[in-house]
Amino acid sequence: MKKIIYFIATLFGLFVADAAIAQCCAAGNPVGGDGSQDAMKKNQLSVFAAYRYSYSRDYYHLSQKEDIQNIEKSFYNYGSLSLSYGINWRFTLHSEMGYYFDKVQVVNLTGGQETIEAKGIGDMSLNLRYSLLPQKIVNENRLVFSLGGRFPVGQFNEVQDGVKIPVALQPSSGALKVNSSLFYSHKNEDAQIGWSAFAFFEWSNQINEGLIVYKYGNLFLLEATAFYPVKSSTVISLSSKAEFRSMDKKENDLGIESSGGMVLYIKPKIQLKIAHDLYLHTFGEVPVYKYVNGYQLTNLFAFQVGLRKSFSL
Amino acid sequence: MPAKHKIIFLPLLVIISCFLLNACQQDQEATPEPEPTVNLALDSITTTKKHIVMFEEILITAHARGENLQYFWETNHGSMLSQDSITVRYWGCYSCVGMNTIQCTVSNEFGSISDTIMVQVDQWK
Repeated sequence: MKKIIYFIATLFGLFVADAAIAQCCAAGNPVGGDGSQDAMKKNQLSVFAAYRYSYSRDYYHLSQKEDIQNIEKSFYNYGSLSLSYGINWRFTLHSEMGYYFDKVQVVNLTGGQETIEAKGIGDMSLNLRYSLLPQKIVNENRLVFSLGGRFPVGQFNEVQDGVKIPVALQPSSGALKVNSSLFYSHKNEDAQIGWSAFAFFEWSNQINEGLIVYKYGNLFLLEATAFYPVKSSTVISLSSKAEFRSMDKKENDLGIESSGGMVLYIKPKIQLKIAHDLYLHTFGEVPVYKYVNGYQLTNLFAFQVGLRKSFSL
Repeated sequence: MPAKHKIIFLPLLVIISCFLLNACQQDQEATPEPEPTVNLALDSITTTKKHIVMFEEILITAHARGENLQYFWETNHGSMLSQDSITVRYWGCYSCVGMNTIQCTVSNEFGSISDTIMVQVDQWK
């Protein structure tokens, strides 16, 4: 067991060394749409339906806000459906599909404001989670390793008035992405507060479709959470998430200077038990520090609300 | 034929031949040549400028012939909005710096045809 943990830790160490820097309006689905990276019990099925809104507005150069008005704002309304199934106590299969009700950019042109808008199915996510520690009732420690990918099954050729919409606004990323994550959670029976940590790495292959030759930069996420059960039906938590993205690349492997960066978010969350095995999950996500390569439009806030229902099969 | 008559006949033959030859040429010019039917043609793509800076807007127009034409525009980097049926407004943002390709595909019931134009987008100085 120690060897496995050491191997995974080493793997993530390499990922950290390779990853760098962030981006605001990446194409494709938001990461971790179901709000949980945990494993399931044997023959347990969890269904999670969520709605997410994200709003981007301010241009940044490095860590400074810039007064650039060419793009007024960018936002999306996104719905997702996740299924998680516990094959046994070790293995959990997780899948997720999403739909963009809209993905919009409002631009200020010489003739006035114009809107570029797309909608449609995003990428499909599929992951196999492996629980490294046996589940216990008290003094619970969870360590879950996940391996999977996001598949570009959705719309990547959205057109507005005969013009193909830019890659960043397409519902699907258009690229196959392979990802891996490690989730750790700990809560002592007598402790008021528990905590968890989550590390995620994603690599993207190159899009080579028509005129588009594009490769998204590597994405690396680190999230630490403290959670506190207020009552038996309510859990509040506060997370800090760091998102690193390396530069995107275009034709001839040329790096795109205004892509990639690092963003630090604060995420307050509430989990509310509504009925037996039915939970309401909601969280907000606000960037508190941004450092971007070149000049980029950055995210201002996002929030998500979702319902989770579990079934024993 | 007496020599006197030869002197008259030969110039007359030349004059008549020239007249007939000229008449034939006039007939050929007068015959209307059938125009080849233009089912589908994309003659050119033109732009107001080929070298711009970020967020500078240019108009790109496709000059095509045919009936029931449909236009499809795409680019590898940059943004476009339809201006009218044959023209788009193009601009490039920070991540679009460099030489970019804009392609127009024109199609109708006879098929489709494409052409491209290159536009250089530079950073602000």
